[in-house]
Amino acid sequence: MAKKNKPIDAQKIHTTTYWKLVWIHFKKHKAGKFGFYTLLFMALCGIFADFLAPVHPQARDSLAILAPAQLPHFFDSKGFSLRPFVYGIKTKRDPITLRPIATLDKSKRVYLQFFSHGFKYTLLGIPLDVHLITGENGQKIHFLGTDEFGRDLFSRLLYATKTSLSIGVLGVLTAFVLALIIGGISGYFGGIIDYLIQRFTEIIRVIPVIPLYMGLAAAFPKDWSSSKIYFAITIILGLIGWPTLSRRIRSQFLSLKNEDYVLAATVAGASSYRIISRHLLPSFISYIIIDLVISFPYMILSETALSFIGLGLRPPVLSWGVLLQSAQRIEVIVHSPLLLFAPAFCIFVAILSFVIIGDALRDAADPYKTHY
Amino acid sequence: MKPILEIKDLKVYYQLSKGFFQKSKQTIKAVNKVSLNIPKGQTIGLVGESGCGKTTLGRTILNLVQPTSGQIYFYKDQEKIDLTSLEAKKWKTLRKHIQMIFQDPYTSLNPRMTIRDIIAEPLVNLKIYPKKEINDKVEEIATRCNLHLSHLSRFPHTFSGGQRQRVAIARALILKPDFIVCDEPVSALDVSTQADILNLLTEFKLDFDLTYLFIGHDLSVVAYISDVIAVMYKGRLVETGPTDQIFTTPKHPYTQLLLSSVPAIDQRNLIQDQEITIFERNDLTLGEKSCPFLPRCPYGETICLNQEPELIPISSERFVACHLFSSSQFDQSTIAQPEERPHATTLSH
Amino acid sequence: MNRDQNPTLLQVKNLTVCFRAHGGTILAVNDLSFDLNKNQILGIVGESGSGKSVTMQNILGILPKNGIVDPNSQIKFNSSRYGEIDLLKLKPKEKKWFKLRGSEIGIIFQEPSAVLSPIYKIFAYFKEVIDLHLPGKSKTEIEQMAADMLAKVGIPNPSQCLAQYPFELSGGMKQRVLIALTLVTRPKLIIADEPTTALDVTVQAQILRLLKKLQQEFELSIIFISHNLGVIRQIADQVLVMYLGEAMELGLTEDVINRPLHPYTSLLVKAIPHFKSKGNPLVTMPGSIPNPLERPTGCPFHPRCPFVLNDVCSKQHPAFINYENGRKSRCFYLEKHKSRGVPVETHFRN
Repeated sequence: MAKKNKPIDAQKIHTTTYWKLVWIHFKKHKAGKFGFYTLLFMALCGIFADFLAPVHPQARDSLAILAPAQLPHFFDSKGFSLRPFVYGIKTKRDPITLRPIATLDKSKRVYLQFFSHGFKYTLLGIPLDVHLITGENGQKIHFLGTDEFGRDLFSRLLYATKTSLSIGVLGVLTAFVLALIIGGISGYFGGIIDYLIQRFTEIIRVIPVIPLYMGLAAAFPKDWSSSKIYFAITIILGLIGWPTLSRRIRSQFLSLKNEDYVLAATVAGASSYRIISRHLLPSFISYIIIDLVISFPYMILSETALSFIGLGLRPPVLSWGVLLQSAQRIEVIVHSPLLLFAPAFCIFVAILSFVIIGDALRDAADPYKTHY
Repeated sequence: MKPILEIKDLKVYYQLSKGFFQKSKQTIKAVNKVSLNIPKGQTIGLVGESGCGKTTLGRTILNLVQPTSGQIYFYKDQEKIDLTSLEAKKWKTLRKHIQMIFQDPYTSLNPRMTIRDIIAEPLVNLKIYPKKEINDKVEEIATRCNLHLSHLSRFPHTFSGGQRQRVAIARALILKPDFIVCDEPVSALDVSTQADILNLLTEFKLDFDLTYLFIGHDLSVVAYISDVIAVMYKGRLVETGPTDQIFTTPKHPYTQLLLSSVPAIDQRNLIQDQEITIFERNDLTLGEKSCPFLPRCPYGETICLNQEPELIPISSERFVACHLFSSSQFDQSTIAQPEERPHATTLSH
Repeated sequence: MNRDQNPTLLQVKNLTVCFRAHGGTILAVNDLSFDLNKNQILGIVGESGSGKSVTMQNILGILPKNGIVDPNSQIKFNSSRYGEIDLLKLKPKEKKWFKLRGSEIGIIFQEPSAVLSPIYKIFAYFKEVIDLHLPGKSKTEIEQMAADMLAKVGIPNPSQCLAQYPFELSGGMKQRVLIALTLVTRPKLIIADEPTTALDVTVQAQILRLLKKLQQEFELSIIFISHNLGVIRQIADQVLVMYLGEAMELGLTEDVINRPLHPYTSLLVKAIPHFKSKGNPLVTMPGSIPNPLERPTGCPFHPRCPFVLNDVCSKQHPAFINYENGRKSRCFYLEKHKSRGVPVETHFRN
């Protein structure tokens, strides 16, 4: 109601394209925006993992085994400090079990340095060694603690985010390309082709997923490099995911094929190619994008599950599933539960964000509704 | 008068298969042996109620539906082309000559395309003009259809039904075709907009020397714009003739029923009859050869059950498919003249 | 006055309804007033945006949530159960509505398939209505009442129909079933919203005949809403012409159509095609129905009116004035020329 007095530029409103209209409606959906920015944040964390990680993810800090989280402070009993700091780690041995126990040493302040030097990495081919935050004088700091080898959880989480999210994207894209070809041909041509393809799809769908995963993953030669395994997992995910998506694409094609404007295009002399590219695809892309967004969580969960049971990615490649897999030990759960909960929380947040975005997109996907 | 389109014994049957393993299949006879000649330069009105097959007939002419049997001949200059056996490649050139205007202006325009692109589509597809000239042609036809040039960059969802239908007309006319099938082009519009569109269609017919097949269910609208009327019932043509003759002396019992059912605006013609029970003979089982109107017909005889009435001429311009005019079972001397028969209230406007 | 002797069944007074929408407020109905007497059929005719549906929604209490009714508006209904009540003062879920709708106020909608769910037999619908409004009837009694009513609406085999599902019936038969369902509770008022628009023309004729006969037999009052003037001419005693939410003209049907007292009515009648006017261009209304968010000032029809008076029609809002023979019209041109002694009925003659 407050916008009543804004002069409406009719021409501008009437010439906005479909995607702009969808974006305008999407922005109004508060939860959707939240989900979107959360995912964006996670993606950026993953992309700039090298820059953001204070310590190398594989570096073992023998002085900090299963260390607790070193959270940054600005003041404590000694007073206020403009420069944030973390408490140091001191290690004692338990007299009975001889197990090293790491605790926070509140007497020792380790100040944080910004844009300082750390371990080397390459970004777009340029060798760099600047990091956002490191400990002063090259001291290792662990915001979320360490694992049983002294490896920093925070840094590992950043790299795991990059891998898990990218596998989700690639898996969905693979499934989508397969589903588009198979479902598209099935829906557009109909008849016997459709019949045969649908029966084939049903056979594929009937195969139980976990044994299939296990079979395929176990077939990887042991000497494959981690990147080869990475791509192989992506392809497996795509191969498992295409049937559901292809069904949706096929039904969209079938229903759109008989729309009046498609018939009108035929009457106007359009070739099959033009009908598909100019008339069918743009309309159904909007529905399919929602399906794709909903598929992401399944892909991420699939990769996590595979890696969790040890059949997917393996160390030194880092993903949320791999982190969860390494956290499957009683001493971890008892002494450093963060090793389990931190990756689980990341998974939870990522999936929730995708689902919320999918909901918001679904609401926004029909911007031509007149709201009287 | 030279014909531009000749439909001969056209049949469009749909098979409803009952499943992969069942033998019995139900056939829907959407168009059941229709023959019709459309003279060049005239408007033929095809009228009938729901399920009579008029839309299917229109779409079959445009090759959107495949006929089961029969022929459709199109006369282009001196050439006689059989549309039913034409290969897909040759159809593209034919689109220049035969076009269609669809019924629902809300679904016949692609919502993702601008008005300019929608109107330009036929030109782009058929590559008749070079790219630079296409825009001029679009603006020319859009102006003739009373569309503002500023509207050309807009999207369809911002327009009213009448404006959208103008866009559809501009799209159909941009190729300057010879023959247009108008599939209920004004049925979805308000009365005031309807008049506008009808005027536009009439104007274009004169300016571009067009021939129309005007399909509709509103008799007054069809009668206003058509020179000749063809009445369809359950897939068959039951009567054809010049508009005023059909309206003043309808011959087929269905035509008479149809005309007497139109709510007139100048008198109360409908509610005089106090008979409200549905007149339908449920005891009859119709065979393949029965007249489809028999259950509702006040004159039915045994011959109507066993033999299909053919569309026969009863004068130079009038054709009727009814045994009343062809069979000796009906004693010609004792049948009342059409004007005196029950339900034969004619419309006098 | 004794309640039963009061001839007025429904009085709509100064009905004004707005809707909140993206981009502003839409005035859907503006200061609408009309009376409906007992045993009378009132036709409401209008194009899209005329407000005829919103008016009906108010009478039935089914106005959407974003609708705002002006507090000065009244819809007085002469109920046999509650006396004279103002329907607008009833809250949306108030109990009185459930006793009025379907019982004293009947409704016939446009699309019978949307009302009759395909999973119940026709008998189930009668049972539901009778149990709700005439409770305590046994199964045989319900069957008898239903079969009687089905016979009255012209269904040839009522007991067979009761055992059928809606998808087994044709459109015309379904509409007859709906009419029977509405009448079984003997309502006084029936709102018929485009009841024949979705039907074939031959079936439409049958239904119109049926409604007229039933109206006489049961002494009903019907508000018949349609965009088709021909249908209104056949069935309505009086007609109200609406445009952009306002009453433009009211009067006996034959008078309004043959001797209209408003330019809009006159143009509406002229726009209807006839086979005899073949060859002559149809008279059209200039322009088109404006966007509800861009409502014209003054008289809503003035931008399209061939009789517009430039100094008055865009600036002031004409009142709905009484003329002879119970006719009313909202037009400055008419007011001006009436006062000059020109006979009222010659102005917008067809």
